[in-house]
Amino acid sequence: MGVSKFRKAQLKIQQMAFMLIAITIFFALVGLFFISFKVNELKNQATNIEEKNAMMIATRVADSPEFSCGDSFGPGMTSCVDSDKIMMLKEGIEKYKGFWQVADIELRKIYPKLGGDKKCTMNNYHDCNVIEVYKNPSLNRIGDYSTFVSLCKKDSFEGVGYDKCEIAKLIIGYASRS
Amino acid sequence: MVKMEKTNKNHKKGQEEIVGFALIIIIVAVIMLIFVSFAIRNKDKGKTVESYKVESFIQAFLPYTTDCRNEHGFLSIKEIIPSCEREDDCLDNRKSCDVLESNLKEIVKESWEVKEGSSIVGYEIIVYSESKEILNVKEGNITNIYQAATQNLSDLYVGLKVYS
Repeated sequence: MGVSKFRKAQLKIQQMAFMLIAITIFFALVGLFFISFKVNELKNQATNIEEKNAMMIATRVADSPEFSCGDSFGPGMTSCVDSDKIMMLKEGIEKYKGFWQVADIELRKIYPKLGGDKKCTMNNYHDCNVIEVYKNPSLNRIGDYSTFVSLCKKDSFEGVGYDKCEIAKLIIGYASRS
Repeated sequence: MVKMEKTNKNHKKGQEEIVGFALIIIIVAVIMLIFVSFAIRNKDKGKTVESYKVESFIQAFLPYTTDCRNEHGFLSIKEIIPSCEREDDCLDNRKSCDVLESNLKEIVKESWEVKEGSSIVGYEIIVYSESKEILNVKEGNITNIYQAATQNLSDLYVGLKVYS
């Protein structure tokens, strides 16, 4: 009789131990799921901040002194990028290392259309369509934001100078925080 | 009698355990549903056109230099619109309205790609004065979801709608 009661109590203790282990595993799993979800959410938030930053830069960089036409092509020009200025900026871009917290800045002419991509250098400046202004190779580019700008320069026709404006996209590449 | 009471007690205990188990499953399911709904909601963004892009586009194409010349030089889109309204011709005898139309069509086509799978399903660009419509360029489908921008050029207007 005493032995049977002792066995029953042992069984109960065993049952409770198993139950405790099962509950602990269950809550640990739920906790893991929750933590992974939160970590993912945090990563997304960080990427969103990068995206917003790129969007802000895309909307404002065209009107910054380094890029904007100022009054060179007429008064009150907004979203206007001075092509000549950009080529000079590109030449001395090392001085701007870390100035823009982005992966890269690129200008891509969209109209008039040129067949294929032709990167701009000082030699082919009038016959190219991609100006790579700034690149930070240490950042892992994960996406970009773009805005339309008019890309203006001084040109000449039959010996007479005139303002020539084309349409381009200012593309800001952003990187992940991780 | 004692055996029956014991069986009833066991039965009740079993029932309680089943109710507890069901409760745990319901709670876990509700938590899962909340997480899934959050995850889906986060993935819905970025499928429409940003308004700043439409506004910047209008600002960007107005200074575009066309190949239409008058006695003052090459005309920009901003300058060719009033010229078209006055029905002026370019120095090479082309109608300024024809140059404006061909340029605008090409510019919008190259800038806003309307294709399957793209977030843009159509666009419409209108050049108008208070009394008449000067030019209307339309492409793709017209929907209720769109971003629009208008630019005032003294008594003339340029409007752009991009549908998504």
